[in-house]
Amino acid sequence: MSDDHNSDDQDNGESSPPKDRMKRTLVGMGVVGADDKPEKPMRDKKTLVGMVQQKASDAASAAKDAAEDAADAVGDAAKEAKDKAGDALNTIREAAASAKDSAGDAVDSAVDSAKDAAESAKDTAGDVADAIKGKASDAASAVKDTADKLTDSAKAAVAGGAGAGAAAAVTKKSGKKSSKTKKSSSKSASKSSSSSKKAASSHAAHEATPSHGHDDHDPAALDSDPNTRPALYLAEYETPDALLQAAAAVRDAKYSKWDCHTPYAIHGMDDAMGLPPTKIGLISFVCGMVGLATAVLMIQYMNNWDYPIIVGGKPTGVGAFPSMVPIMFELTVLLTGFGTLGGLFHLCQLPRHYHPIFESTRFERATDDRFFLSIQVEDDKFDLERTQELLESTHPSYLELVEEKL
Amino acid sequence: MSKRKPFVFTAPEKSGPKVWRSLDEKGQSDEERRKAASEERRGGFLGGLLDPRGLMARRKVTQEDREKIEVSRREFMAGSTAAAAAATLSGCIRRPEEHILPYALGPEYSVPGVPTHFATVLSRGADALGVIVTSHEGRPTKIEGNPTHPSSRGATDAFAQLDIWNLYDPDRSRKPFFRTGDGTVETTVSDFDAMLVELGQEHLDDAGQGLRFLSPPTNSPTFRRLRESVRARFPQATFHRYASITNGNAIAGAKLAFGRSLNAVPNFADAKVILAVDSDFLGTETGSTRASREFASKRKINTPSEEMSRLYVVEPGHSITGAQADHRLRLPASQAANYLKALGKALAAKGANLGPVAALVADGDATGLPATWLDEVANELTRAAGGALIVVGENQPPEVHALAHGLNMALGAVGRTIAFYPTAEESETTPLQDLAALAGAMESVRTLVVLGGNPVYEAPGDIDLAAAFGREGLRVIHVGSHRDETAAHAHWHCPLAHELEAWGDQRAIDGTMSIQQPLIAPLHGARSAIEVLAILADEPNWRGHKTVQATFRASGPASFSQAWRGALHSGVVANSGSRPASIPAAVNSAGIAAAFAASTQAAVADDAFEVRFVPSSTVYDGRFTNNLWALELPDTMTKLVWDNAALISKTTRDRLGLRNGAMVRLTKGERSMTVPVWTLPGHADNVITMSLGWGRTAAGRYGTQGAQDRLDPLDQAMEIGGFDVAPLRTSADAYFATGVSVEKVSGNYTFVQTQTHAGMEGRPLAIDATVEQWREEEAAGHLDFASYRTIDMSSIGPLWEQVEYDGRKWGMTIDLSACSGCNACVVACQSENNIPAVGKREVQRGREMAWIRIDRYFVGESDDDPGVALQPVACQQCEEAPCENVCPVNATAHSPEGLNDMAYNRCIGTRYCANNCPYKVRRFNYLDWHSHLDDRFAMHGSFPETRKMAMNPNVTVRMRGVMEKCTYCVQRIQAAKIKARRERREMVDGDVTTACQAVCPTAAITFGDLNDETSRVARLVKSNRQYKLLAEVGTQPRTTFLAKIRNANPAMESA
Amino acid sequence: MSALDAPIEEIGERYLLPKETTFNDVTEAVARITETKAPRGWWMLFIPSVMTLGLMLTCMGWLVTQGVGTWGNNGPVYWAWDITNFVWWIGIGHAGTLISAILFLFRQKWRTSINRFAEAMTVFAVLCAAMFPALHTGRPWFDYYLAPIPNQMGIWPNFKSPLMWDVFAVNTYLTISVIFWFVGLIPDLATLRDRSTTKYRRMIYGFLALGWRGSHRHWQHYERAYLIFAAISTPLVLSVHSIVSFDFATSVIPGWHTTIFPPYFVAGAVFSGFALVMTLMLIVRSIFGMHNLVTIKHLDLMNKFMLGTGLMVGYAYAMEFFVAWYSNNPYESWVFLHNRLGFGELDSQGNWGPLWWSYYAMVGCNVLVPQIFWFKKCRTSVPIMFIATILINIGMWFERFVIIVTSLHRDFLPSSWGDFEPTGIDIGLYIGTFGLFMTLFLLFIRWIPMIAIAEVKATLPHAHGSHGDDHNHEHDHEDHAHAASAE
Repeated sequence: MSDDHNSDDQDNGESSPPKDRMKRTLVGMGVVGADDKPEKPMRDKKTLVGMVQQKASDAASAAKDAAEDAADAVGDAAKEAKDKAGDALNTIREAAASAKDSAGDAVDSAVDSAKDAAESAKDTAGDVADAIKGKASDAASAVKDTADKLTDSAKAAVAGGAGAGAAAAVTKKSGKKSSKTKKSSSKSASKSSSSSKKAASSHAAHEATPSHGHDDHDPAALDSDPNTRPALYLAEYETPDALLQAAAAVRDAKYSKWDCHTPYAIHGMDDAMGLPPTKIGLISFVCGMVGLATAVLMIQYMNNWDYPIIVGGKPTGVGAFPSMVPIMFELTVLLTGFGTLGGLFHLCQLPRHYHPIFESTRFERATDDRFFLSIQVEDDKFDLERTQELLESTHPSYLELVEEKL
Repeated sequence: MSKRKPFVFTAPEKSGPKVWRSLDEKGQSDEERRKAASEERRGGFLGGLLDPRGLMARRKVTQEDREKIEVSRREFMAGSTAAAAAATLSGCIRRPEEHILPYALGPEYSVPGVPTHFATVLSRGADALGVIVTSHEGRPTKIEGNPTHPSSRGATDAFAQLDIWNLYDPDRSRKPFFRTGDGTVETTVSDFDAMLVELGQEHLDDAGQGLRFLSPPTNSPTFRRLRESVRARFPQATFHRYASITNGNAIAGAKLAFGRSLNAVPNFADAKVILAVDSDFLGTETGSTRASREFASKRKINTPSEEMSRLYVVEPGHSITGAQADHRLRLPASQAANYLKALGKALAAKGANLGPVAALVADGDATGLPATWLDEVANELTRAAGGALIVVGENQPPEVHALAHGLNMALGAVGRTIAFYPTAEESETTPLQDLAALAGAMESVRTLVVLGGNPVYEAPGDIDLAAAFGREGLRVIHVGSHRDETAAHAHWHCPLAHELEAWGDQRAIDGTMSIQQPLIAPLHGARSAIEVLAILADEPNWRGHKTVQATFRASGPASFSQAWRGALHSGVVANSGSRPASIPAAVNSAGIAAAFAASTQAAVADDAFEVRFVPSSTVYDGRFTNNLWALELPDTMTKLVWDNAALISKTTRDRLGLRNGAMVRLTKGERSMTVPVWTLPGHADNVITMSLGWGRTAAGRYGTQGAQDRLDPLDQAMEIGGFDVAPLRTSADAYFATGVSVEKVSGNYTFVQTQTHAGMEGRPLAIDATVEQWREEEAAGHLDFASYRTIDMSSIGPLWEQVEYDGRKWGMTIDLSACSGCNACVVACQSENNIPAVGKREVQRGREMAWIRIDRYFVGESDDDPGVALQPVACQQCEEAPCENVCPVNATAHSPEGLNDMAYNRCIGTRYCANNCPYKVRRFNYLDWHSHLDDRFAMHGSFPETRKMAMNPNVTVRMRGVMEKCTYCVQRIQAAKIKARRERREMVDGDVTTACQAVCPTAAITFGDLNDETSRVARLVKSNRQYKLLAEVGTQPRTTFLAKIRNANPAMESA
Repeated sequence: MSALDAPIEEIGERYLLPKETTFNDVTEAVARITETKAPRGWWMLFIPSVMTLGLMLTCMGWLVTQGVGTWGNNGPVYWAWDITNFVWWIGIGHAGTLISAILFLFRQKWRTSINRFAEAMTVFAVLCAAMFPALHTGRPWFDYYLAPIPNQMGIWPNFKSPLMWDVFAVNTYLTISVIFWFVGLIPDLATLRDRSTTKYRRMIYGFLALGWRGSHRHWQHYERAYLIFAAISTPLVLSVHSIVSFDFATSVIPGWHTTIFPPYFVAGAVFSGFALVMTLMLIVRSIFGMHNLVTIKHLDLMNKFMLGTGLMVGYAYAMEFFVAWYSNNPYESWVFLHNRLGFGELDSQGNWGPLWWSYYAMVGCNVLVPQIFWFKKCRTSVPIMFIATILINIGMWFERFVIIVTSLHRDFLPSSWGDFEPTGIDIGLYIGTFGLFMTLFLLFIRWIPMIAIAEVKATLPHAHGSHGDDHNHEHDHEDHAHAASAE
């Protein structure tokens, strides 16, 4: 079964490049962050667990919402459910694939856990997928059936995710160390997430061998990891358009400590982000004027005040002004250049070789072909749930809570 | 850098005065002090601990050691005190303990840092040149003229300037040697003296039968006195004189005309019309310094109406005298006699009473001579009425001199424009004949003593002294400055003292006596000629000082010591000049006619060239051929350096199809030589001029022909050293040879000039005008030459406020009317300012260093008969100096007195200033020039020590990479300021003389304070002739020129 | 607000890069070069380059130990190959900044394919150039006297000297060029960092990228900073060669003393700089197969530019003659008739100026050769333009040689006239600077993205959303106007 799913996923991956890349990225989560440090599995595991947990919970939550909506339901509600379920499906799939890939040749328990997680996730995913598929094919005519199915699956998810729920609670209590705070996680999603994190802790999965393993997870050990804390949400978009819209959304939500990350400067982003004009011009100008003054004073001091010498019968003071012009200009330019460089560094707070955003491996594509939006924890309006909701509403191709090590 | 060791003073045994090192120590008892001292010797407590031997031995500590190490508190304190003292002392320990002595009781007159000046004299063949030598701490560094000396009048020729270098020539002979078998053995001067004594004993037997002497002609009374002493001791001994350049023909000519040996001394100051026939009286001939001064005095006129002398020159080559000519005729040297005769005929035709000379000139042939050059010149000479003067070159045979004397007499010149002074002694023969006599009698000679000179090299080609010296049974004793060609064939050689190293005395051409006092002890141990003679004469006091004093005492001064001191002080013996000799009323026309009859000269034709042998204007007869200053001194007319050449006219060159540098073979009879040609505009056709003194085979490291290996290791294709004329120069044709055939042979020679471009290209640079033109200009209201510009900038005012120079404002004028291009200033500057020579290859690249150069332009349409404009150019000290603006490091800037100063230390050598100098007077040390020719890779390995001694300590020796230029001799200005201040007086005009000004024989250069209305320079600047070179560039130079005025004869021009 | 968002169509016809090019394609194409083994062609260039660099160091050592006399500089020609090479290299160094800055200010999108390349060339060329004035001094170890620092002599530098201006101009130019180049490199270094697979690459590129994370808040400052750099670099480029020309123009030497020099030099500098950019680009393009990034269209535009600057240079040449004639200054006329053209009257020795041939070499290469670019066939033929650019570089070297040497060798006083002949050290050092240049350049293309990745991405059709939509472009313009007015 697991083999089948595995091959399924791979097929999907091949047929759908973005998903394949996403899968690859998730697999890469085993080597999270800017630094390849396999000797620190705790952080990696934690992050991964958080991710999987989050995705599973997302799925569960989405499914539950969809089910509730469907239960209450009317046609447009059904459509929304379908969308969310679709997202859940994708996410769960990815979680499963991740778990699968991560499992690899890990220690037995890890393999077991991974298999277990994969299995669970697959099951859930399959259920949800089937349900959604059915609903999607004829949403209007089979609302009730779909809702039932979704309710079932949601219940299953809740049951399966009990442990995860508990873990989440502990985590939250122990100082927001947990990456997952979704309470309404379905059983299956929870199970998958905890299993996944276990799998991730083995940190070796290149090829998933999903199988039912024992639920050997230890949420307490994970959630009490004191070495990391959430730093920012990172949302990934595939097109500049998407990012511009997302940025506008975040801007309108009045966030302040957030940013967009793009491989090149996108036009219109200043407006989309609502940025005030940069001050760098002022810094450059001031430095340039300092350069000008330096030139005038230097020349006057050296050639006129300190040691005037008759050179070619020419005057030394103001009469020598024409001969001062070139150096006045050059020093103005030079100090403008220094000012601009210094101003750039100052305003950008560069060089800054470490930033929590680098903890995300996906972020490596920010300098290639992906567009990211990050919201920092330090933002006053930051709230794990609401912010996440906001970001989700912008339809990122990927969303991640990035943790920074302490 | 000096390799001389400091004076080592042996300290007294008692280890010096007792010193105490601390107050504690002072109170110590002897015992305590001993103890402390003993501890200190061990190094004290800390010293013991830190003693490396102690440290090494630390592992095996014996009981004894332990006792040493274990010290009480007191001992520790004592020990540490001593250790501190020892540490203080040990800071000085690295230096060896040597004592140097202060200059507490220095030589008289010598204040360290303040140069002293001594009057002495340099021999000039029949003449002598009184000079004043500057000595820095015992080193003579500079020679200048003695104003009280009649032949100098304060100026010198270029050769006097070159003499300093010869004194410090690193290739001067340093030790005597004698030859045994195939090798030579170096010995000492006292051995040489002993050998002379022995020699004297030996020759007592034959009364000097086999003893002969050969020396250059000398004017030294002591030499003559000792010669007589030697003759007294060895009655049969014979003295011969020889030098390749003498005025022997002139004396012989006077003897021919008047029956006795006389020196003809023209008085150019009183001459109105001068005809110079093959005479370079401003250049290399006897008395040129005096002649230049006198001649120039009649040429520097300040208004067109002043009287100005007129110079006609008839010459085969193109000498600097010819360059001064108002009218110049190219004529082969062999035709000079005919020209004089034809002129005589013309004079007779004008009604001049030639007396007996009329017969002599009867065969004068006017064919081929321009009519004006006979009629108009005769007119002029006649009109001059007592102001006429005919001078004939020393290269001309005696009969031509005699004929000229006859014409001078007819023109009434004698006593007015020409005077005859008795020679030091009657001579029956010319030096050349003397040498021929010696060569003829060589078989009978047992001992030949060569006192100076280099006869093996200098002798005409048909007298092979080298071979003669090799004869069995002949001993040649050579006393010479160098181990030269003669030394190479001598059996004994002893270094000859330089004139600045030895006592002597010299008579000027007018008989004025001067004592030659040494400025320095012989650098390498040497004997002077008179010392050698004194030893052979068995004088008990043979030292130069004593013998010269003895001669002087014998001349019978009233008070010997007073007269002696006076003579030493002033450089001339008071009232020693002779009066002009009275001469017969008529010349001996029969004798002259006989002489003419005896001499035959072939006609000069396309296939029969005349070849002239003239003194080199730089190396003279070869005595300066190892002299870097001379080697790199451009001949004024050709601007060639490091070589001589076969000078030909352009017409001849074109006819022969030659290029400059092409090799030709000159053949006369069986004698021939191969030499490259060089075109000299204005040279006579079918005449070749070659200078003596080149092609030396043993001149030294610089001047020896083919010494290029040393001179330019990276470029050995460049040959140097020129060509020896001896193969073609025989005793019969010692001055010029006719009937020489010329054929082109393959090969090319690289000649190098310091100035490659001879035209002014229509630019108003060396401005000249005839008196007529000047008069016309004046009549037209154009009074000044300053308006001769390409562009008139006068309408453009200054764009900025001009600097006011309120104090002293130094300026210089150079009178182009006076400048004869004698090169004395160039060498004087080189000597004063430590200017290096760079080598032939570097001159070819244009890297010569002379701060003052003499630009020589040919003017006029004709290549064969051009005018010549000479213009000495040094830094113009522009007030608006373009060089200063562009120096990025302020290494060149103006002093408050308006000098364009160079701070050599500050210069980084961007060379921008030199680019921006319109006058191109800045010189750059592209390489380490001073040692460049000695030091292969500039590693400061082998720069000759003696050459350092020639340096003027008051002028920085510039290192490579530094720009340098004329500074108006700022060191002299400062010295004069200090002097005036010490004497508590204001500076007056004449306190400062620049080096170039000081030596200028024509006094063309005037220097002084422009703000001083009374100074000569301020007056000259106001002259109508004054103009600024390239004034249109706006540089406002402080050096200005006085335009050259030519006194052209309109009658000659129109013809 | 960014200049990068001006539409591609501004330069006329179509997108410079194929429409379907993805961002990743750009990254891959450029970054791959630094990540894979060097192609054989690279080694074939690199090894001789290093050997030539060795030649340069040898000549330099000989020069410093022996003195400037090892060059052929001489009496009247106190400056020769040294300053010729300096001006030549500085001129070449101008294209880089010009392409980067002026074209940036003029919104010429096509610059993005070549600007990095050209900026690197600037830096290396200026390094080569700066070497000559530093070494041409007689005592290079005292070059620090040029700096306005207190010293034991109490003398300050002379700020009236054009050489002093040069010192400031060249150093400023070098500094600003390096900064400009580096600032432009930061995002691309970040790209390399993020792609790196080995520890050292990650460390080195990570260090150099300064922690760049593509933040738009950074991009905002960055874009403005880049604009400022472009804005100050443009007059700087113009000033540097103007000041270099002041070395000559402020002097009194005929042939130097002329007011046309600043624009003349700048045009010449751009001309020669473009030519060398072209030469190198054609080589690199073929070695690394970058035909898609540097297209014939780019080359065509460059050739047009060279034609334009070539005409300007030709105009300046003609103007010099006019000025010489119109000024009625005989010294000036002499220089142009005799020293340069070699005709008119022969001098009194019957000679033309000995270096007249160099003037014809200059005119032939700089004025005649670019005329072929009137023809599209020539503008788009790689071999033809390769040869043409090399000829132009030779011609521009001769231009400096003509100005410096032929003016100096015969100036005011004929007595001081001379000639010039280079020595082996002259030649070796000049050739050696190519070694320095090429070594640095080859290292650059090997280890540093030679094309501005971020900037090329920004020029892609889909870079700023809703690509191909005219409405969107107009919107962009409005935005731009808005941003501009907001400043």
